[in-house]
Amino acid sequence: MNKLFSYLVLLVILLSLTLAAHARGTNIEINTPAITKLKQSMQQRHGQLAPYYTSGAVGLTRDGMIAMRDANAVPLAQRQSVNALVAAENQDRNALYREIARANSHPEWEKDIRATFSQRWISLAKSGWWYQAANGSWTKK
Amino acid sequence: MKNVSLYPVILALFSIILTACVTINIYFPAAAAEKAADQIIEEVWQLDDAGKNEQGAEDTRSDN
Amino acid sequence: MLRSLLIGTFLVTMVLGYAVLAAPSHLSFIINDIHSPVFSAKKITANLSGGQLSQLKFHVGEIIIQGKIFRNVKFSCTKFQLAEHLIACADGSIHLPGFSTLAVAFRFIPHKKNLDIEIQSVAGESWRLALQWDVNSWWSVLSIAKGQVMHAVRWLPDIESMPIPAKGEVNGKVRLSGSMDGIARIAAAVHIDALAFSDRNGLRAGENVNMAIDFNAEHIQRNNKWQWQSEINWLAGEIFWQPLYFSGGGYNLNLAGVLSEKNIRLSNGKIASRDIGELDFSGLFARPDYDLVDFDLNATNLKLSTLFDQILKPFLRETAFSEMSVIGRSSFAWRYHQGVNQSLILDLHDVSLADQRDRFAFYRINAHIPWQMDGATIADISFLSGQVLRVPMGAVRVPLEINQFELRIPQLVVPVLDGKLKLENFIALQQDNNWRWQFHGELMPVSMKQLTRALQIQQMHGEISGVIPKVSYVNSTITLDGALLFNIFDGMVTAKNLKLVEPLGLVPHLTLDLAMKNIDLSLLTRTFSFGNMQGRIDMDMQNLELAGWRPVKFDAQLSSSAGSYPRRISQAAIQNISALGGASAVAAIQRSFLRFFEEFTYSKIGWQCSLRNNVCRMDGIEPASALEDFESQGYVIVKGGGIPAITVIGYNRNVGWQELINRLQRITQGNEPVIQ
Repeated sequence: MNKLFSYLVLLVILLSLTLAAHARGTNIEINTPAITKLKQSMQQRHGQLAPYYTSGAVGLTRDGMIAMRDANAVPLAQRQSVNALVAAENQDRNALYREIARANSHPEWEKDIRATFSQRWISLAKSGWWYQAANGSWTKK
Repeated sequence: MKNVSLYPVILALFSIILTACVTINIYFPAAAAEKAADQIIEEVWQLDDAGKNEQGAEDTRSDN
Repeated sequence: MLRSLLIGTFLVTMVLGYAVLAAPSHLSFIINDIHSPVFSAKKITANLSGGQLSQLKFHVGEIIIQGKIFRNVKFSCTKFQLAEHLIACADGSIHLPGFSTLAVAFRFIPHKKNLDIEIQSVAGESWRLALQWDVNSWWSVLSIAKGQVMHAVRWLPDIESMPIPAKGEVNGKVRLSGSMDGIARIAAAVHIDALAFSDRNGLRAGENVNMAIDFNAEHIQRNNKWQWQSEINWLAGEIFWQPLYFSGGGYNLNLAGVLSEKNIRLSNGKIASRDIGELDFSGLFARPDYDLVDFDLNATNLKLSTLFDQILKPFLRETAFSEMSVIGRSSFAWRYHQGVNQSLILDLHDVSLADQRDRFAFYRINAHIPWQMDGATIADISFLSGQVLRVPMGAVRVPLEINQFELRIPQLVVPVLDGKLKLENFIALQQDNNWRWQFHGELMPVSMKQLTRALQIQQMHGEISGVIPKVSYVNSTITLDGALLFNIFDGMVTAKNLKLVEPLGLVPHLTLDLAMKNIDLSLLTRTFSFGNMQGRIDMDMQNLELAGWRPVKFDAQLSSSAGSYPRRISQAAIQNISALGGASAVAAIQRSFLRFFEEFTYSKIGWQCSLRNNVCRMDGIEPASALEDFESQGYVIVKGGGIPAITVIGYNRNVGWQELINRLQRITQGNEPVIQ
């Protein structure tokens, strides 16, 4: 009886290894209609957001979002519309991370995908843009 | 008697199933995800040649 | 504060009085320390010199006012008059470090107990205080002309979120009066012009703000309370107060109340907005933390379009309601007593709302929605028409039963196009800040023709209907138990396991299984202009998943239905089926003898497509030959039978989904098959 169980244990270990190996080899699927749509919507918005990244009004947060960092850099009358841009961008970003996780049939990956993106947004940001360091403080790239 | 001896085995089995689940999470394809993220970010931020040209144009404008 | 100032003044006059009696040619005195709740000062020296002691020099080593320290404060006067009936300085100047030197003039008439001080700056700014007193009371008038609000900055605490004025001019009068016990009455009428203020992050800021303030307060000695009335008129300028933005003024705030040691009672509060309407309120706040105890809010006939755009929308940014345009009028009344919400009554008058992304719209909503903490109420809600996810709805009147945080509709019939959706036992409740709801019902026949037109998809004929044992909404997901039955192309379609995730989100996900039985091919091919085919097919579409209303996954299997019926296929259809495999196949048919026949017969049609990652992997009824290499082996899509018979074999296993859709569109939109 005990021997049978140890076989079972072995089997589970093997199975978990194959699963792991399988996962490691996977490519990340990003070519779904939903992801394309979100990408386009963000690309269109980027033209409006870029000047605010440059002026430091808007910065990249450590959790893969964006935030109004220094409203003083924006004329008073435009602050609300920058707010709206930030909110719309964050909605798209949230949806993007979720859709990528779903497209790869691993909804639980959303957190990891967000973490990956938050690093990559910051790495690829142009110099002069502001981002939030791991400790939450704002830093100029 | 037999039941008692089975107990730790079942426990071990469960713990291994649990670690198996964790294993899957650890093997989130980080490198592939990074590549995918870069691809999306480059498109959204238009970081290709066109983007660089645009930046160049901005530079000349500020020189004037 | 004023009381302490008075004490200070008396101190000085007393010393000066002594100087008058002594009358020497040079006089100086030193005070080491003055303490009062309002200010404290150290090392005060005063020096009188010159003929008739007409030159005064006054020096304070350190003065602390409200936590701010000023060192080296100097005051001098070259035409100082010191007489029995008059102590005056016509051309004094005061130098506070950090400020420019200010001109100061004062006249003090001891026997009339009258003090007049005027401080002027170079820019024409003037602050003039006239003070008079008798044995047990005093009166003062502070007249401000071109007063600069920046002076206030030094006295404000340094808090990140506290808006600090940067610019602005004050004109007006403040009258204060009282007794030796303190201030008893305040009356202020001031204009503030071109005010600019901002907190450090620029999230609470204003520019070019003009306002008029009227403030009257009276101290009631008997119970140590203050009673006040105030009116603030915001006339012009722009204000950003995260996340709200107002420009142009047009707001008026009236506030009256009583301030006691224990609480603040607001009464007759009124906010009037030129563009929105009027809001009346009263309330009670407990000190010292200003906790809300009671509050009554009443508003009638508010203009919803501006109320929504200016006030509500910025708070709904992260929701599906952020891109709505709203018109109509609304009234509401909110009662909050003893720290608990007692009731809220909301009325909507001819309200129409529409999502700019076309996800939903409701027109001519009229509603009376009473809510109360204790007991159940019935709301009456009706609308004339609407649409949700492009499906139009007709007039609805709902008697909604409200019991605290549970909503119930026993029965409701929603006209949907030419059919009806019957809802029964609708229950919605709020749990952990999330709404969940469920109902069961029935969909009475809706014509597919109208539905497909509304959904802006390929027009189809037939009807859709079904019995819905249970629809529930939990965790942003709508789940449908049971089956929806459609009746299209003379066949029967069953939709099961329907699940809609985030229906109003950016990317709704729909999953379901479809089973179609006995679809009339002739009707189908005619509708899609595919080229005539006769016969009947069954089609299973398992694991269908739509993201943002576009398919991302399914396992489709199409095959001829069982039974006996004519099985014919036109040459046009053959060419179109072949065209799905690529243009070269069409050319091959054109070159062969097949072009002499108009119609062929078949015994069986079968086609499979599994969509994964944008690629449709295809298969047919059976392998075309018994080759070992599966990938290069053809599969039979149409199996011939009768005369003239035709067999169509597919060789392409994988085709990009978008490419397949493009080919289908070319074929069906062209109406005629592509012939070179």
